[in-house]
Formats: sequence, C-alpha cells, structure tokens
Amino acid sequence: MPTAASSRKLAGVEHALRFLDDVAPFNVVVVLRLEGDLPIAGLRVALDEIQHRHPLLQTRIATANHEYSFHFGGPGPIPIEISEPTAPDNWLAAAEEELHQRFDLDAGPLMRCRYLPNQSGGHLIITLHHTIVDGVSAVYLVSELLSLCSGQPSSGTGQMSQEGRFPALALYPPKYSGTGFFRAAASFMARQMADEVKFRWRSRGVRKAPLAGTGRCRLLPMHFPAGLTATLFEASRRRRITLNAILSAGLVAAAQRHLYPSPRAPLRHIIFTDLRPHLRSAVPASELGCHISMFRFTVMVEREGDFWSLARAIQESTLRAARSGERFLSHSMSPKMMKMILDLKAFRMAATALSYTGPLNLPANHGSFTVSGLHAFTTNFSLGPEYSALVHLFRGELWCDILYLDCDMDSAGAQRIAQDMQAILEKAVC
Amino acid sequence: MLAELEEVCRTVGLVLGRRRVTADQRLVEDLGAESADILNIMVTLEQKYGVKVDDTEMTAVSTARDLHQLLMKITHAATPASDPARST
Repeated sequence: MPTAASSRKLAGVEHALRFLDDVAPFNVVVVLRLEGDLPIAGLRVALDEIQHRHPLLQTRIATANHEYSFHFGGPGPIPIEISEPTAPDNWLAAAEEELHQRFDLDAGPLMRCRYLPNQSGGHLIITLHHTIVDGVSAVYLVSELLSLCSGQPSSGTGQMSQEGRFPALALYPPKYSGTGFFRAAASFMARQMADEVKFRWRSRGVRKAPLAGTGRCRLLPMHFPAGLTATLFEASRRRRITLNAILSAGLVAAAQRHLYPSPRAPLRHIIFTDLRPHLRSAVPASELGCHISMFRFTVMVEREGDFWSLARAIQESTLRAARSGERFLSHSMSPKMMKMILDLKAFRMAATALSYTGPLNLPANHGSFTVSGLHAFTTNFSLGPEYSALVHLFRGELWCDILYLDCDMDSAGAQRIAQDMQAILEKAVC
Repeated sequence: MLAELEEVCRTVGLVLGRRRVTADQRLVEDLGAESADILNIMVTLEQKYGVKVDDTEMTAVSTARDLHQLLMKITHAATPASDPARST
C-alpha cells in the first residue's frame, strides 16, 4: 500500500485532464439503471471496501508551481447521497449536475456516489474524476462495486499495490521511449502539421465550428434496438470494418448533414483508444488509471456520399494512426496540445468524437437487484468536439450516450443529429 | 470441421503478416494487432470453420491458443448430441 507521504506527478493525458479541469470539471459519470432493491447499507460497505482496495480512490491532486501530483492517502470516505424517491426520468438532470460539479481535487477522494430511488428500483450514479479512470477500468470498478454490494464474490483480488504508481509514459514500449521517442515525436508533429495544412486548404469556404467562450454539456442518451445492433455486427463482419469505424461514419455523416451547409466538407474526427494492452507491461482493467489516447484525423464527408467508403476511410485513418505509434505520441503530447488550444482559442479540436468501449462484461443479476441499463458520459469543453458519443454493447443493444454543448445547439438540434445517425446506419445495413 | 491449433496460428500469422506465430503470443501485446486485425482474424476463422463467434466471447481472447479453445467450444456446442435411442 502506498504510504501517506507517497506521491507522483501527473503525466500525459492525466496532466492534460487536470489542466482542463480549470476550464470545465473533467468528470466521468456512469449511470446504472437498477430494478429491485439496492441494499443501501451494503452500498456503504462496498464503497469502503473498494476505496480500501484502490490506492487511486485514496488520492488527492495537489498543485504546486504549475505542477500537479497525486498524493496517496489522506482523503475521507467516498461520499454517497441518497435522494428521496423520485420519477425515473430525473436521473438525466442529476447526471448532468454530476458532470458539472467539481471535485475538491486538493482534498479528494476523486469519486462520489448518488442514488435516486424510484418505484421499481433506482438509478445509481457514480462520478469519478477523469484523471483516475478510463472506460475499461470504470466498467471493472462498477462490476466490482455491484458484486460487493450484493455480497457476491467479487472479481477483485484485494489491494492493488501498484495502482497509480506509474504513469502510462513510464510504460511505453522501447520504440517510443528514450531517443526513439524524439524521432517518433518529430515525425508525429510533421504529420500533424501536414494534416493541418490539408485541412485548412480543403476547408476554404466551408463552415467553421463556432468558438464560444463557455458552454454547458448536455446529455442525450439513446440506444439502438437489438435488431439494428445485430445487423450492425453482421455488416461489420461482412465488410470487415470495425464497429468503431461504422458508428463513427454514422456520427460524422449525420453531423455533416445538420451542421455543415455545403454538400462536401472536411471534418475532423476523434477516436479514443485504450493504451493498456499496448504498454510494456500491460495494465489490467482491474487497476484504475486513465490510460487512454486519441487519434485525430480529417475525413472528407459528402452529403450524398457512399457510407461504406466513409467508414472504410475512417478505419484506414485509424489504422494508419495506430501503426505509426500515434497513441503514444498523442498521449504524451496532450498537455502541450491542450495548452496550445486554450492559449490560441482559435479552433475547435474536432467536429465529432466517438469512443466505443465494446461489449461490457457486467453481470446483470445481483440477487436483490438487476442492472437493466448503463449510461456513461465524459465532460467536454467549448473548444472540444461539437458532438461526441460514448458507445458500448450491453445486453445485446448498443447504448449510445451523446454529449453536446448548449453553445453549439439546442436539444431539438441534438436529437435531429442522433435520429439521423440511426437512420443513416439503418439505411447502410438494411 | 475441428480447428487445429497450428492452423489457427497460421491464420493469425497470415492476417498479421507474420511468418511465425506461436500459440501463446498475445495478439495485441506481442503481435501488435489492432481491432481491425482482430476482426479480420475472427472473420477468416469463422469462414474457415463455418462457425459464428460471439463478440462478447472475443473479449476474453488474448492468444491464438485462446482462439483455438473458443473455436473448439463453439464447434462442440454446435455438434448435435447423439440420440441415445439410436446408440445401440
């Protein structure tokens, strides 16, 4: 176990997220729709137990001389708030509040919990600061928490003594560490600049994403029915195009139709990627930590263009970025990149972003209660993508949690893009 | 048709452009496979052995040996149990 005095500096995406937290709280909010009775006393015990197991849940973030450090040990118990019984639909407003409510980073802990009971069960809202969690570890943590809540044997293996001790940067493969890193970084910067020039040239006369001073995140949950989900998976196999690329193509095409008046526009798209299996010593999902990176690229989107050409272009861009080591370079350079974006305030990072977590291995049945739905949202800010989505497969359906900013569009506008995304995907696969 | 471990390794090697793949090398960590490569491996094996692999089950696959075991499990599950009335 880390001692109370132990600490380490934030690095890579952790540093960038902490830095961005001064602009907008960078939280991850997971919402579980539960049927039946969640044992509240069991939840308190479970929260204490997972905090005991995970050093990053006993952490606070200290700031000194513009540097940020995790300090292990010290924070009090994970707070939990139990609301009065409420209407089932109220979870969305509560999740939005959670997304915007800052953590006291100097004090910790960097996790809190809220339960909204209703007639048939309730919504359990788990909020974590993004610096200590990514999609993979959030799902594992939720599964661990639910198992402990219901008194079932947990998949956890006791205390995670190494958790949070090393940033992802310390675990890069040899090719991307030492002098190898500088060579790769130079080539990465050259590619980024070439993409920037290409993007600016191609986007002459095309609408530019608006630059607003501030914007509040709004949530739009949707899920694709089992029939459409199964057809999308079949199409993915038949065409040998990943679901990530297919969903991204649907999102990008819908955004182009509604936000860009021209029939053809180059759009920047972000795909998030998991660093964990690619590190020198693979970090298991059971260890908390923010080991993510992103691929950002430009695709030409035509209003009446062929959907599958777009999906293939996105897949090829993703593969090209992955094979050139962009996940490592983008991760390590993200603090500088974010600082530049915030200093210049001259452009948005992208038009769209999508993170596909894949199938969730989360048991539905927990004795006195079952999990019938799962949503996840991550904060965005006014210089980030205009329209983004976190997607996962749960109980045979694709759950697509969309996030937009109120400075960019209203709820009707966001709904229209989401409906069109579904219609585009249906048309492409049916 | 029952999958053979050697054949599974060979298929993985072909898709990833590797001359030699051993059963316990990890697809992502050791062989550098990306999600598009994993999809290609899965579809190639599905076509070769006439089976359908569930995406949820694929999340537990790390090596060619895991893939082989999964294929064996699917193949066995798909084989109809012998009718005891006829087994005289």
